[in-house]
Amino acid sequence: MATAVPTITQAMLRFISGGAAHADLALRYMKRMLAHERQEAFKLAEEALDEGLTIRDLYLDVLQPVQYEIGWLWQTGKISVGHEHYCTNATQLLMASLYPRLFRATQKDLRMVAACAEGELHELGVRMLADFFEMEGWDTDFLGANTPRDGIVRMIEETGAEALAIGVSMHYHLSEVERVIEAVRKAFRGDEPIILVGGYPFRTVDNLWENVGADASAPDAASAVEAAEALVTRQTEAKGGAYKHGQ
Amino acid sequence: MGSELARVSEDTLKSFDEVCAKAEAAVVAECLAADSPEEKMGPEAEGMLRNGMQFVTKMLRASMQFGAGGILADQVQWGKTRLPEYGAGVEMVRRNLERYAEALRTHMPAEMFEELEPYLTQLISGDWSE
Repeated sequence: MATAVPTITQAMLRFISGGAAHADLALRYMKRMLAHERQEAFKLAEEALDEGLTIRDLYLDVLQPVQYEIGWLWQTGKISVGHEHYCTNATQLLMASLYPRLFRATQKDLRMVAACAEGELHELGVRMLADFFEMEGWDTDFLGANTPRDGIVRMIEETGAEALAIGVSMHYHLSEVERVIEAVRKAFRGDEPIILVGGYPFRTVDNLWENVGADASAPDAASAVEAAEALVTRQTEAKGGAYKHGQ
Repeated sequence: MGSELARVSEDTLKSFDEVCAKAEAAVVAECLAADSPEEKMGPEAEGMLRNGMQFVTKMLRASMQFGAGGILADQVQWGKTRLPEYGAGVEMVRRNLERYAEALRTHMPAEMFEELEPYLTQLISGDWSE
Protein backbone atom coordinates (compact mmCIF):
# COMPACT_ATOMS: atom_id res chain seq x y z
CA MET A 1 0.00 0.00 0.00
CA ALA A 2 1.34 3.46 -0.86
CA THR A 3 1.78 5.86 2.03
CA ALA A 4 0.80 9.52 1.92
CA VAL A 5 3.89 11.61 2.52
CA PRO A 6 3.27 15.20 3.55
CA THR A 7 4.76 17.82 1.24
CA ILE A 8 6.90 20.15 3.31
CA THR A 9 8.18 23.43 1.92
CA GLN A 10 10.70 25.84 3.47
CA ALA A 11 7.93 28.40 3.99
CA MET A 12 6.16 26.03 6.39
CA LEU A 13 9.19 25.73 8.65
CA ARG A 14 9.90 27.74 11.76
CA PHE A 15 12.83 26.07 13.51
CA ILE A 16 15.07 24.62 10.80
CA SER A 17 16.53 27.63 9.10
CA GLY A 18 19.01 27.62 6.24
CA GLY A 19 21.70 29.47 8.15
CA ALA A 20 21.75 27.27 11.24
CA ALA A 21 24.49 24.72 11.87
CA HIS A 22 23.69 21.35 10.31
CA ALA A 23 20.34 22.63 9.07
CA ASP A 24 20.66 20.62 5.88
CA LEU A 25 21.14 17.41 7.85
CA ALA A 26 18.20 18.31 10.09
CA LEU A 27 15.96 18.89 7.08
CA ARG A 28 16.96 15.65 5.39
CA TYR A 29 16.52 13.72 8.64
CA MET A 30 13.05 15.18 9.16
CA LYS A 31 11.95 14.49 5.59
CA ARG A 32 13.03 10.86 5.90
CA MET A 33 11.06 10.58 9.11
CA LEU A 34 7.97 12.12 7.56
CA ALA A 35 8.30 9.66 4.68
CA HIS A 36 8.18 6.80 7.24
CA GLU A 37 11.80 5.96 6.42
CA ARG A 38 13.29 5.85 9.88
CA GLN A 39 16.09 3.46 8.87
CA GLU A 40 17.20 5.95 6.24
CA ALA A 41 16.97 8.76 8.78
CA PHE A 42 19.09 6.74 11.23
CA LYS A 43 21.61 6.10 8.48
CA LEU A 44 21.92 9.84 7.85
CA ALA A 45 22.61 10.46 11.53
CA GLU A 46 25.06 7.58 11.89
CA GLU A 47 26.98 8.54 8.76
CA ALA A 48 27.28 12.10 10.02
CA LEU A 49 28.61 10.81 13.36
CA ASP A 50 31.09 8.57 11.58
CA GLU A 51 32.27 11.59 9.63
CA GLY A 52 32.98 13.54 12.80
CA LEU A 53 29.73 15.13 13.91
CA THR A 54 29.55 15.01 17.72
CA ILE A 55 26.56 13.58 19.50
CA ARG A 56 26.24 16.93 21.23
CA ASP A 57 25.82 18.67 17.85
CA LEU A 58 23.51 15.94 16.61
CA TYR A 59 21.25 16.50 19.59
CA LEU A 60 21.35 20.30 19.62
CA ASP A 61 21.48 21.06 15.90
CA VAL A 62 19.49 18.18 14.44
CA LEU A 63 17.25 16.25 16.83
CA GLN A 64 16.09 19.20 18.95
CA PRO A 65 15.13 21.51 16.05
CA VAL A 66 13.53 18.59 14.22
CA GLN A 67 11.36 17.84 17.26
CA TYR A 68 10.37 21.51 17.55
CA GLU A 69 9.60 21.56 13.84
CA ILE A 70 7.55 18.40 14.00
CA GLY A 71 5.50 19.96 16.79
CA TRP A 72 5.01 23.12 14.76
CA LEU A 73 3.98 21.20 11.63
CA TRP A 74 1.38 19.35 13.68
CA GLN A 75 0.18 22.57 15.26
CA THR A 76 -0.32 24.17 11.86
CA GLY A 77 -2.08 21.13 10.47
CA LYS A 78 0.62 20.13 8.00
CA ILE A 79 1.15 16.67 9.51
CA SER A 80 -1.02 14.36 11.58
CA VAL A 81 -0.62 13.45 15.22
CA GLY A 82 0.39 9.99 13.95
CA HIS A 83 3.36 11.53 12.13
CA GLU A 84 4.30 13.43 15.25
CA HIS A 85 4.25 10.29 17.40
CA TYR A 86 6.10 8.26 14.78
CA CYS A 87 8.92 10.81 14.54
CA THR A 88 9.21 11.19 18.30
CA ASN A 89 9.34 7.47 18.94
CA ALA A 90 11.76 6.84 16.10
CA THR A 91 14.07 9.56 17.42
CA GLN A 92 13.95 7.97 20.86
CA LEU A 93 14.92 4.70 19.21
CA LEU A 94 17.86 6.43 17.53
CA MET A 95 18.94 7.97 20.84
CA ALA A 96 18.80 4.58 22.52
CA SER A 97 20.94 3.08 19.77
CA LEU A 98 23.53 5.83 20.31
CA TYR A 99 23.75 5.16 24.04
CA PRO A 100 27.04 3.20 23.91
CA ARG A 101 28.67 6.26 22.32
CA LEU A 102 27.67 8.55 25.19
CA PHE A 103 30.00 7.51 27.94
CA ARG A 104 33.07 9.51 28.77
CA ALA A 105 36.30 8.16 30.16
CA THR A 106 36.33 10.82 32.87
CA GLN A 107 33.61 10.42 35.44
CA LYS A 108 32.82 13.29 37.77
CA ASP A 109 31.41 11.46 40.79
CA LEU A 110 28.20 13.43 40.34
CA ARG A 111 24.75 11.97 39.96
CA MET A 112 21.47 13.26 38.62
CA VAL A 113 17.93 11.96 38.72
CA ALA A 114 15.86 13.02 35.69
CA ALA A 115 12.12 12.57 35.33
CA CYS A 116 8.84 13.98 34.14
CA ALA A 117 6.33 14.83 36.83
CA GLU A 118 3.21 12.75 37.26
CA GLY A 119 0.81 13.22 34.33
CA GLU A 120 3.47 14.48 31.92
CA LEU A 121 3.93 12.09 29.00
CA HIS A 122 6.45 13.99 26.87
CA GLU A 123 9.77 12.54 27.96
CA LEU A 124 12.08 13.12 24.99
CA GLY A 125 13.43 16.47 26.18
CA VAL A 126 14.39 15.30 29.63
CA ARG A 127 15.84 12.12 28.19
CA MET A 128 18.01 14.24 25.94
CA LEU A 129 19.05 16.24 28.98
CA ALA A 130 20.03 13.08 30.87
CA ASP A 131 22.15 11.97 27.92
CA PHE A 132 23.97 15.30 27.97
CA PHE A 133 24.79 14.88 31.64
CA GLU A 134 26.11 11.36 30.87
CA MET A 135 28.31 12.78 28.13
CA GLU A 136 29.68 15.29 30.62
CA GLY A 137 30.69 12.57 33.05
CA TRP A 138 27.68 12.44 35.37
CA ASP A 139 25.86 9.27 36.33
CA THR A 140 22.18 9.65 35.59
CA ASP A 141 19.02 7.87 36.60
CA PHE A 142 16.41 8.62 33.95
CA LEU A 143 12.96 7.73 35.26
CA GLY A 144 10.97 8.73 32.18
CA ALA A 145 7.44 10.02 31.81
CA ASN A 146 4.69 10.25 34.43
CA THR A 147 6.78 9.58 37.54
CA PRO A 148 4.98 9.69 40.90
CA ARG A 149 6.27 12.25 43.41
CA ASP A 150 7.28 9.75 46.06
CA GLY A 151 9.12 7.69 43.43
CA ILE A 152 11.30 10.70 42.64
CA VAL A 153 11.99 11.40 46.32
CA ARG A 154 12.86 7.77 46.97
CA MET A 155 15.21 7.60 43.99
CA ILE A 156 17.12 10.65 45.24
CA GLU A 157 17.31 9.04 48.68
CA GLU A 158 18.66 5.78 47.25
CA THR A 159 21.18 7.31 44.88
CA GLY A 160 22.31 10.38 46.82
CA ALA A 161 21.93 12.41 43.65
CA GLU A 162 23.40 15.92 43.64
CA ALA A 163 20.86 17.12 41.09
CA LEU A 164 17.26 16.58 40.08
CA ALA A 165 15.98 17.57 36.64
CA ILE A 166 12.26 17.75 35.98
CA GLY A 167 10.90 18.05 32.46
CA VAL A 168 7.48 19.38 31.54
CA SER A 169 5.78 20.13 28.23
CA MET A 170 2.27 21.14 29.17
CA HIS A 171 1.71 24.22 31.33
CA TYR A 172 -1.01 22.53 33.30
CA HIS A 173 1.52 20.09 34.78
CA LEU A 174 3.39 22.96 36.42
CA SER A 175 1.46 22.60 39.66
CA GLU A 176 2.67 19.00 39.95
CA VAL A 177 6.23 20.17 39.25
CA GLU A 178 5.85 22.62 42.14
CA ARG A 179 4.57 19.83 44.39
CA VAL A 180 7.52 17.60 43.48
CA ILE A 181 9.94 20.39 44.33
CA GLU A 182 8.20 21.02 47.65
CA ALA A 183 8.32 17.31 48.47
CA VAL A 184 12.04 17.07 47.66
CA ARG A 185 12.90 20.16 49.67
CA LYS A 186 10.89 18.85 52.61
CA ALA A 187 12.44 15.37 52.45
CA PHE A 188 16.06 16.58 52.22
CA ARG A 189 15.85 19.83 54.14
CA GLY A 190 19.32 21.37 54.34
CA ASP A 191 20.80 18.60 52.24
CA GLU A 192 18.80 18.97 49.06
CA PRO A 193 19.93 18.23 45.54
CA ILE A 194 19.95 21.20 43.22
CA ILE A 195 16.74 21.27 41.21
CA LEU A 196 16.57 22.12 37.51
CA VAL A 197 13.40 22.42 35.48
CA GLY A 198 13.06 22.56 31.73
CA GLY A 199 10.71 22.22 28.82
CA TYR A 200 8.31 24.27 26.76
CA PRO A 201 6.64 26.34 29.53
CA PHE A 202 9.99 27.62 30.74
CA ARG A 203 10.93 28.71 27.26
CA THR A 204 7.74 30.71 26.88
CA VAL A 205 7.53 32.53 30.23
CA ASP A 206 10.45 34.43 31.78
CA ASN A 207 11.46 33.38 35.29
CA LEU A 208 8.72 30.79 35.57
CA TRP A 209 11.30 28.42 37.03
CA GLU A 210 11.54 30.66 40.08
CA ASN A 211 7.78 30.62 40.52
CA VAL A 212 7.73 26.83 40.75
CA GLY A 213 10.58 26.87 43.29
CA ALA A 214 13.44 25.47 41.18
CA ASP A 215 17.07 26.54 41.40
CA ALA A 216 17.56 27.05 37.68
CA SER A 217 16.34 26.42 34.17
CA ALA A 218 18.18 26.48 30.88
CA PRO A 219 17.15 26.82 27.25
CA ASP A 220 18.93 23.66 26.18
CA ALA A 221 20.70 20.61 27.53
CA ALA A 222 24.22 21.98 27.15
CA SER A 223 23.40 25.10 29.16
CA ALA A 224 21.67 22.94 31.77
CA VAL A 225 24.88 21.01 32.42
CA GLU A 226 26.77 24.27 32.89
CA ALA A 227 24.11 25.61 35.24
CA ALA A 228 24.03 22.40 37.29
CA GLU A 229 27.80 22.26 37.69
CA ALA A 230 27.97 25.91 38.73
CA LEU A 231 25.25 25.33 41.33
CA VAL A 232 26.82 22.14 42.65
CA THR A 233 30.18 23.91 42.97
CA ARG A 234 28.57 26.78 44.83
CA GLN A 235 26.73 24.37 47.11
CA THR A 236 29.93 22.43 47.78
CA GLU A 237 31.83 25.58 48.66
CA ALA A 238 29.03 26.75 50.91
CA LYS A 239 29.29 23.49 52.82
CA GLY A 240 33.04 23.83 53.24
CA GLY A 241 34.10 21.57 50.37
CA ALA A 242 34.15 17.83 49.96
CA TYR A 243 30.39 17.85 49.94
CA LYS A 244 28.65 14.76 48.72
CA HIS A 245 24.91 14.66 49.04
CA GLY A 246 23.67 11.83 51.19
CA GLN A 247 26.93 11.29 53.05
CA MET B 1 6.66 36.62 26.56
CA GLY B 2 3.50 38.32 27.86
CA SER B 3 2.91 40.51 30.86
CA GLU B 4 3.01 39.16 34.37
CA LEU B 5 -0.01 39.41 36.62
CA ALA B 6 -0.54 39.11 40.36
CA ARG B 7 -0.63 35.52 41.53
CA VAL B 8 -4.19 34.51 42.39
CA SER B 9 -4.95 33.52 45.99
CA GLU B 10 -5.56 29.94 47.07
CA ASP B 11 -9.16 30.78 48.03
CA THR B 12 -9.90 32.17 44.60
CA LEU B 13 -8.29 29.17 42.89
CA LYS B 14 -10.46 26.92 45.04
CA SER B 15 -13.58 28.86 44.10
CA PHE B 16 -12.54 28.68 40.44
CA ASP B 17 -12.07 24.90 40.73
CA GLU B 18 -15.56 24.58 42.13
CA VAL B 19 -17.32 26.42 39.33
CA CYS B 20 -15.20 25.89 36.23
CA ALA B 21 -17.11 22.80 35.08
CA LYS B 22 -20.36 24.80 35.17
CA ALA B 23 -18.76 27.57 33.14
CA GLU B 24 -17.44 25.10 30.57
CA ALA B 25 -20.87 23.50 30.22
CA ALA B 26 -22.52 26.90 29.80
CA VAL B 27 -20.13 27.83 27.00
CA VAL B 28 -20.73 24.57 25.15
CA ALA B 29 -24.52 24.92 25.44
CA GLU B 30 -24.53 28.56 24.31
CA CYS B 31 -22.18 27.90 21.43
CA LEU B 32 -24.24 24.95 20.19
CA ALA B 33 -27.41 27.01 20.38
CA ALA B 34 -26.06 30.15 18.74
CA ASP B 35 -23.15 29.36 16.46
CA SER B 36 -23.99 26.06 14.71
CA PRO B 37 -20.39 24.87 15.29
CA GLU B 38 -21.13 21.47 13.76
CA GLU B 39 -21.24 23.12 10.32
CA LYS B 40 -17.46 23.57 10.42
CA MET B 41 -16.40 21.21 13.18
CA GLY B 42 -18.53 18.27 12.14
CA PRO B 43 -20.71 15.94 14.22
CA GLU B 44 -18.11 15.77 17.00
CA ALA B 45 -18.43 19.49 17.65
CA GLU B 46 -19.93 19.17 21.10
CA GLY B 47 -17.18 16.87 22.38
CA MET B 48 -14.49 19.00 20.78
CA LEU B 49 -15.90 22.14 22.38
CA ARG B 50 -16.06 20.41 25.75
CA ASN B 51 -12.44 19.27 25.47
CA GLY B 52 -11.41 22.70 24.29
CA MET B 53 -13.01 24.47 27.24
CA GLN B 54 -11.45 21.99 29.67
CA PHE B 55 -8.11 22.85 28.11
CA VAL B 56 -8.81 26.56 28.58
CA THR B 57 -9.59 25.93 32.24
CA LYS B 58 -6.35 24.02 32.79
CA MET B 59 -4.21 26.64 31.08
CA LEU B 60 -5.96 29.52 32.80
CA ARG B 61 -5.50 27.84 36.16
CA ALA B 62 -1.77 27.30 35.56
CA SER B 63 -1.42 30.92 34.56
CA MET B 64 -3.26 32.17 37.66
CA GLN B 65 -1.47 29.84 40.03
CA PHE B 66 1.96 31.06 38.96
CA GLY B 67 1.10 34.66 38.12
CA ALA B 68 2.25 33.98 34.58
CA GLY B 69 0.30 35.96 32.01
CA GLY B 70 2.86 34.78 29.47
CA ILE B 71 1.18 31.39 29.46
CA LEU B 72 -1.98 33.00 28.11
CA ALA B 73 -0.13 34.98 25.45
CA ASP B 74 1.47 31.73 24.31
CA GLN B 75 -1.90 29.98 24.27
CA VAL B 76 -3.39 32.71 22.10
CA GLN B 77 -0.59 32.13 19.59
CA TRP B 78 -1.17 28.39 19.78
CA GLY B 79 -4.92 28.77 19.43
CA LYS B 80 -4.67 31.00 16.36
CA THR B 81 -2.68 28.41 14.47
CA ARG B 82 -4.13 25.18 15.79
CA LEU B 83 -7.84 25.71 16.42
CA PRO B 84 -8.79 26.52 12.80
CA GLU B 85 -7.54 22.98 12.02
CA TYR B 86 -10.48 21.74 14.09
CA GLY B 87 -12.89 24.08 12.31
CA ALA B 88 -12.94 26.47 15.27
CA GLY B 89 -12.47 29.94 13.81
CA VAL B 90 -10.92 32.74 15.83
CA GLU B 91 -14.18 34.70 16.09
CA MET B 92 -16.04 31.76 17.58
CA VAL B 93 -13.18 31.05 19.98
CA ARG B 94 -13.23 34.63 21.22
CA ARG B 95 -16.99 34.55 21.65
CA ASN B 96 -16.63 31.38 23.68
CA LEU B 97 -13.99 32.96 25.90
CA GLU B 98 -16.33 35.88 26.53
CA ARG B 99 -19.11 33.44 27.39
CA TYR B 100 -16.73 31.62 29.72
CA ALA B 101 -15.83 34.88 31.50
CA GLU B 102 -19.50 35.73 31.92
CA ALA B 103 -20.28 32.28 33.31
CA LEU B 104 -17.46 32.58 35.84
CA ARG B 105 -18.71 36.05 36.80
CA THR B 106 -22.15 34.58 37.40
CA HIS B 107 -20.98 31.65 39.51
CA MET B 108 -18.10 33.12 41.53
CA PRO B 109 -18.21 35.56 44.45
CA ALA B 110 -17.64 39.05 43.05
CA GLU B 111 -14.39 39.77 44.92
CA MET B 112 -12.90 36.50 43.75
CA PHE B 113 -13.95 37.03 40.17
CA GLU B 114 -12.30 40.46 40.29
CA GLU B 115 -9.05 38.78 41.25
CA LEU B 116 -8.99 36.56 38.19
CA GLU B 117 -10.63 38.99 35.77
CA PRO B 118 -7.27 40.43 34.53
CA TYR B 119 -6.35 36.95 33.31
CA LEU B 120 -9.60 36.59 31.39
CA THR B 121 -9.15 40.08 29.96
CA GLN B 122 -5.64 39.22 28.81
CA LEU B 123 -6.85 36.01 27.23
CA ILE B 124 -9.79 37.60 25.41
CA SER B 125 -7.99 40.75 24.33
CA GLY B 126 -4.80 38.96 23.29
CA ASP B 127 -3.44 39.22 19.78
CA TRP B 128 -5.99 37.06 18.01
CA SER B 129 -5.35 38.71 14.65
CA GLU B 130 -5.03 36.12 11.91
